[in-house]
Order: sequence, then C-alpha cells, then structure tokens
Amino acid sequence: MNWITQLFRRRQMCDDLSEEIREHLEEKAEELVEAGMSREEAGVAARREFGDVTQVEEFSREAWQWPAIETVLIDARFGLRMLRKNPGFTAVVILTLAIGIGANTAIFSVVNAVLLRPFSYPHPERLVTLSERAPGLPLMYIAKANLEDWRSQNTVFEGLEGFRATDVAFTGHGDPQHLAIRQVSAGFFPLLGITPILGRPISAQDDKPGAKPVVLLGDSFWAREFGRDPGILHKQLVFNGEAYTVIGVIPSSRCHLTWRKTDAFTPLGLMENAIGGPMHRDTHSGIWAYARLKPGVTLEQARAEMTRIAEQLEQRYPKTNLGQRVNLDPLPQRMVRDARRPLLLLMGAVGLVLLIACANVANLLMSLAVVRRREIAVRSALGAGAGRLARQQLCESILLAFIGGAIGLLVAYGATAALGHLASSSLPRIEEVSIDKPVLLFTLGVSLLTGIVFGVFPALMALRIDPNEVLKDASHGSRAGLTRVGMRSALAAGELALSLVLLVAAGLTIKSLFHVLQADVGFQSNGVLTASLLDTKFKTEAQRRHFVQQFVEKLSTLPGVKAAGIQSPLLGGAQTDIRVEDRPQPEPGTEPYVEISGVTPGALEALSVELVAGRYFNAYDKENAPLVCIIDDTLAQQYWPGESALGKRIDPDFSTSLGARRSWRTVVGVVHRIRNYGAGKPSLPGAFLPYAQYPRRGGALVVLSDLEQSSLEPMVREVLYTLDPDLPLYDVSPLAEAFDIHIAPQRLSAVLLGILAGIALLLAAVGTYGVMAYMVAGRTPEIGVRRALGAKPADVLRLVLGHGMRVALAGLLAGILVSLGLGGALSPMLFGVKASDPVTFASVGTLLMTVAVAACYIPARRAMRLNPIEAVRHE
Amino acid sequence: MKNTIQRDLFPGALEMMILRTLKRRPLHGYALAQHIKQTSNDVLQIEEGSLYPALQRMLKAGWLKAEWGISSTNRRVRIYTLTPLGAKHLEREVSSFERMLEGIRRVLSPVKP
Repeated sequence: MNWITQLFRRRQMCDDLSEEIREHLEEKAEELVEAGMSREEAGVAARREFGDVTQVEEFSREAWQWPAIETVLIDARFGLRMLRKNPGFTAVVILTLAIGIGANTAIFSVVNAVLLRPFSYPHPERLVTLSERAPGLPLMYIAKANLEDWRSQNTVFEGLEGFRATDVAFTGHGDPQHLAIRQVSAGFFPLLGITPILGRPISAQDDKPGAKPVVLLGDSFWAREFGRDPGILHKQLVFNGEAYTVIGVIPSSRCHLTWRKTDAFTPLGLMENAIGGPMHRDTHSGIWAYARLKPGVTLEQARAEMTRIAEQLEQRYPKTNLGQRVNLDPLPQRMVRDARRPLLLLMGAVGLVLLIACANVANLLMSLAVVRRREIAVRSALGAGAGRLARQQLCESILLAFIGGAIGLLVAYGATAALGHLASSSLPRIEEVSIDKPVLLFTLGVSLLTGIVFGVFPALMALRIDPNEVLKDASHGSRAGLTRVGMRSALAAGELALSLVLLVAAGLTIKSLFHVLQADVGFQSNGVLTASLLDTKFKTEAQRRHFVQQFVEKLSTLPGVKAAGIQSPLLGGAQTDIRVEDRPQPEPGTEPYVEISGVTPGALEALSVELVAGRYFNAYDKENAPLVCIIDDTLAQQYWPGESALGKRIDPDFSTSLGARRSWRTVVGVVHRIRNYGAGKPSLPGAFLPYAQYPRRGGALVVLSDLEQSSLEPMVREVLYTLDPDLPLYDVSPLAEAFDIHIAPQRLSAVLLGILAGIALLLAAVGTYGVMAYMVAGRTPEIGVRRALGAKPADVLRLVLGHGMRVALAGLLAGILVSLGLGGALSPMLFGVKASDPVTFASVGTLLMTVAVAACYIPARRAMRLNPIEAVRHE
Repeated sequence: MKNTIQRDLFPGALEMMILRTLKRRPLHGYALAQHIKQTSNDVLQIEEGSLYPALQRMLKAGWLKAEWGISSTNRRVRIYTLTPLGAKHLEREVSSFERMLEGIRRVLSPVKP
C-alpha cells in the first residue's frame, strides 16, 4: 500500500479498529455470560482482560503515523488557526513577504533566462564567436578574404561561418518596405543545428559570387507577408531591384539576440555581387563569424591556432593584415556579457529587500509572541517541551513564508511581464523569461529559507519563556517582554542599514543616469526627426548622389523645417585609419583611427553640432570640387594643439576599399565632438566628409523642425514618393528615441533600483515604527511614573525619540560602512559620479533619518500624551 | 510518554506468535488472542488488548491482510490472513530465534569437566 492511499485511508483504519475492539469485548462478554456470569460482571471482566481500551486504540493508531509529518501537520493546522485569529497582522506579514519573495522570483526568472539557462543550440558550450582586432581597434569586422583563409587553414573548428546584417528594399509586394536581412555563409544553419521548416538550406553553390540569388524567409516575415503559404517556394521576391528565389523558411529562433528583427536570410557570397568582384582584404564590412570547436579542443588551443593563422596572413599580406589578430570568445558568455553585472547587482538588491522584509516580519512575529506569551506559558506548563514550542513557532513562520511565496509568485508573474516590456531593448534573451521549474524551485527554496530566517527569532523567544514567571505575572504589564527590545532594536537598525545600502545604490545610479542624460554628446536631439533611407536600388554613385541631393533640397524647403540633411551612417561611422600631412608616417599598424561618415549640407546643422572654427559643408562641396572634410575638436587638438586646423590636410585611408584614388582632404571646419554611442561610452574621434564626395549606401535623414512627427512624417514621405515611389523609408522616430538604446540599460537599472530602494525604505520605516510603538507600549507604566514625578511631555518625547535616534544612527552608520565597502561592485556602472559620492550619501542619509524620525514620532507623541494617572494605574 | 503495554519475553515475540498462528489458518482478533493463550497453556499472560497495536504494525508492514467477514458464531469480525511477505518474515524470525535459543542453551548447559 503506498503512503498516499494510506494517508487517506487512515480514518477508515481507525474506524475499523474501534469496531473491531468493540466486537472483541462483546464476544468476550458473551462467552463469560454463557459461562454463567451476569451481563454487567461479564462486561467489566472483558474490559479487565483486555486492558486500557483508549490506550490500545491510541497505540494502534500510532502504528500508522509518521511522527514528524503528523506533528508538523498539527503545528500547521494550529498555525493557520492562529493566523486567522489575527487577520490584520497576517495580512501585513504576508504582503511584506509576497513583495520580498515576488521581487526575488521576478529578478531570478530574468537571471535564470539570461544567464543560467543553456542556449537552445546543440552543444552551445562549443560555440564561439570570432572577430578581428588591430592595433587601436579592439573590435573589428572580419574581412571576407580573411574569413575564407581561416576556414581553409584551421584544424580546430568543425565549422566556421560568417554572417552579416544588411538592409534591403523589398518591392513588388504592396508598398515598398525595408527588410532586415542576414547574409550567412552556406554552413551557417547546420553549424547552429537549425533546419528550415520548409524547403532547403543554402548550398555551397548558392554561396558563390555570381550565383543566382536565393532567399530563405524568416517564419514571422513569411507569416506577416504571405500568411504562411507554402506555395511561396520557388517564387521570386524583388530585393533592391533584383529577383531572389525563395528556397525555404527558417523557424523564428528564440535564442539569439540579434535575430529578433531578421526578416530573411540570403547567402553571404552575394555581397560580392554588389561590388562586382572579390572584396578587398582591407575591407572589413559588417561580417562576424561563429564557429564550433571540435570535441576536445579547448578555447586556448583554438585561440593559439587562430593567432598562428593570423600571423601567417600577416606575413603574406603585410599591407592589409599588419598586427591583425583574432578575438575568440565563447558565444553564450559573449552574448550576455554586458547584462551580467547589472543583473547580478539587481539580484543582490532584491536579496537585500528580502532580508529587510525578513527583519520586519521577525519583528512583527516577536510582537505577536509577546502577546501570546501567556498562551505559550500555559502550553509549556501543560507539558509541551521547549523544543516543541520552538518548532511550533518555526512551523508557523514557514507556513507564513509559503503563503507569502505563493502570492509572491503572482507578484512575480506581473513583474516579469512589466520587466519584459521595460527591458526589451536592453537585455538579451529577455523574451525567454518565464516562470519555469527552476524558478518555481527557487521560489520554494527562498520561501523556506525566508521562513527559517525570520522564524528563528520568535522561536528563540519561545525557548526562553519561563512559564512560572509569566503565569505569576497575572496582570498584563509586560516587563518580561521588554528584555527583547535590544534584539528588536538591532533588527530595526539592521533594516535601516540595509535600506540605506539600497538607497545609496539607487541614488548613485539615478544620479549617474542624470549625468548621462545631461552629458554633452555634441548634438541636440530636441525637435529632430530621423528616418532610415534605403537607396540600394541605385546602381551607380552618380544616381545615388543625384537622388540624395534632390531629396535634401526638397526637404529643406518644407514649411516648418529649419534644417535637413542626410548622415550616412547616422551617429556612427566607418572606422578607418588616417594619415596627416606633414606628419611622420606612423609605424605600420599604429595608425590613428577615426570614425568617418558622409553628411550632406544641412545634416550637421540639423543636429546642432557646434561649429568651433571654419564652416559647415555647402552646395559647392561637390564630387569634382576640391576634397574637403570637417573634423572634430579632439582630432584637431591632437594634431594641431594651439593652432588652427583649418587648411590642414588629412587622408582617411579608405581609398583602397572605395577603389578611389588616394588623395588629401583639406579641413574646412572644426566641430565639437559628437559622442556617437552616448556619454561615457568609448568612441573614436570623428571626421565628416561631404556626401557628394563620399556617397555611401544607406543613411538616415535628420530633420530639425517645429513640427510633430505626425505632421512632418507624411510630408517627408510625400516628398520621397514623388521623387521615387520604390524607396522605403523606415525607423521613423524622434532622434531622442533612436538614441535611447544607448541609455536604456542605465535607465532600467535606475528605475529598478529606485523601486527596490523605495520598497526597502517603506519596509524599514514600518519596522522602525513597530519597534518604537512596541517600546512605548511596554514602557507605559514607567512613562507614567516619570510624568507623575514631574517629567514634562517634552522630556517624554525626548526619551522616545532619543531611543529611536540611537537605533537610526546605528543603522545609518552601519549602512554607510557597508555601502562604502560594496561601492566597487557598482562603480563600473556609474558615469560621472563616484561610488563614494558624498552628496548622494548625505542626501540619502538625511532622507533615511527623516523617515526614521517620522516613524518614531507617532509612538513618541502617543507617549507624550499619556495621562500619567492612567498610565500608573496600568501597573 | 512511552508505550507502557508490556511486551512479553522479548521484542518481536508477540509478532512471531501471531504470524505462526495465522500461518495455520486465518483468524480474527479475539480468536487469535484465545488461541495464543491456550496453546501457551496460559504461561504467557498477555493483555488481550496488546494484540491490536501489534496487528496494526504488522498490517502496515504488509505481513498481514485484514478483511471483514462473518465468524462461526455469526459475528461481524475482521479476519487476519498471512501474506507471502509475512510468511517469509516468519521464517526468518523463527530461524534466527532458534539460533539464539541454541546459543542460550549452550551457555546454560552444565560445563562438562
């Protein structure tokens, strides 16, 4: 018989037993009657023979019990009854716990999904990501020629596959639209264990320059545009004016950060079709690579192998590969690297909140335990052992924790939904967050641990109760309970200390965010609308130049538009090495790098980039006009400190990759430096070239106006449509929003820490209030005597506040010390503020003390208003 | 509080006797008590009641099965039957008991010079 059915059939067993015993006694009695005894005598004799019926029944029942579980169930049932008797108390405790456990569950579910859960590729631990680096450029795209050499020469990888993000204009199917394309090499899908849900993967034949273009659709794009019609196979779609044959459909991959917006996949080999020949080894154009280590090959062996190959390439191609090496990192770690620190920090923060909640609940339970002292004393006097009583207390605590945990799960459910929304652009794998088995186990474990942590205090108290003393003290004056004020004050001080730690962390993060938001990034985003433009349909530079010039001219004349232009790429640039005229040729491999973008006249004006010297570009900076450039003041300062950079010449060495002749450019303007990736993020010095002399594909409009997006956008679209109805315009948004991705992680940390610190402060305030109120209640008679002996209300106030302030100051001091100690963990995330920022500490400390005083004031006022006569009579 | 019902002789003896008795034929509680009393010639004075906790323990251990039925005296009784598991247990117990008894006998028998 298994134990579950036993559990349920036990009642039946007991009934059977009682009946059996009854029958036994009757049978015996009957026999005795037959032997000549009277009915009554026989009954008595039968019982005598039998022994103590009650005891026999009890011992028989005991055979069916598991002693530990039984008593725990009894304890739990008793605990539930006690909790029902104090509904207000119970509600406060459970709510506190639900918030504490819920916050922990929510953050853990994110940590679990982002950091702990393995990636859903086969053997993710053998996947690595590769990129290149050169002196001065720690992270560089891979040159296609290098990638192919790596692939053919290495002995450490099962597969080494490149991929590249690009944009195409999709026409011939409703309005022209922009698609996010990933160009991948032939082995890419097998490498990651991805098989098409329809059709076939990319073959080696597809992946060759000159091959007939093919495309695999992403599942969501297939659903969106074609309603998942399988008839799409072998149909042709027009991308950038070119026909691509659909060969398959790729399932929406859930586990890859950068795949979120991929509409379709095309062969990487086709990128060379666009330039009509093999790519130059010096062009590092957007390619990253993944590889799979052969079984048994370590990361170190692979790194050594790649260094060896890079060195060989360097010897063979000294002009292009000088000093270039390979970055090789485990893919899973790499993907979540930036999320690690903020997430662990948040985990720590919610841990602190839970600790505060524990202290709070422990305090509340101890108050209740004082009220229940008599009950406990009576039970102790009736024979309940101290251990049994402590266990009862602990059992109640764990019960509370479990109820809190269950409600906490609901809290977490809501919180993860909100988090997913809030963090969608700043956390990788955030869409994978769910409350699954590990999370549930975590919640269970945390609840149990919580129950034990806060339950220990009242349990210890129950152990120390002396029934003799309590029961003798017939009045309800509660001297005895006061002995515990020390422990409870310490708990309150601990709560205040922990909440100070959180407040400091939140304060610093928020201050840092403000610094980021107010930092000088070198441009103004107010009133600027941006939109991405796809001009890939133009086959020649002349066509593109002509179109862009017309477009910008028309935009600039729109009513309400103050300045308009195109920057390509928007807030960023091609990283390239430069030479400076009249300066010694730098050691090969140590050339300085700048970020270069093309801008039309009007673009820098629309961004309100501050002109330090010289001029912006104008309509005369044409293709055939003298080559010019604008540089930023960091570059000017670097080469011409103390003199004007105007008229000096530099040579951005992209001649080889552009196929243009090498030539010097004259500096015609110096602008204030733009921080392309936000304040505090590293970025190279910038240089700007006239778009007409540097007509890159793609780019973004920047339009400065007084107009709302809702009225400006249609006008812009109208202008574009009349110029060319086949060009998609996408990602239309205010510049501030477009730029926000650089700030989003900091904002997220600040918001979450702020919320947590707020909760912590509230809990600590409630805890302090509880202790002070309890102390005042306990000292009522004493206060009465003091008043009767002539103490003024102000003295009483001082007495109570003094006690409160001692507690608060102790908490403040401890909190400051802990914060200073933990500052190191936070400082890498801060911008423009030190982890020991005295202003933050001072303001947070003041806030905490104010709250503590407020929490003490209510009980203090009650003490002050005590009627001395009544208070003494209390005794 | 501890179990104050006196267990006769040594722990397990009562169980052994019950198993042995039930091996012969299924019986209900009262008959079982009478049988043990009579066959031991009333040497073993057990309280009839002490049978029941032992029966419950053995039910739980799976050595016995119990079923409600009608006795020869037309009474509703719970009849206990030995299970194969119980039979095996009895065998083990008896053999170990006999070994122990043999040991005791050797120690108690007069030493031959």
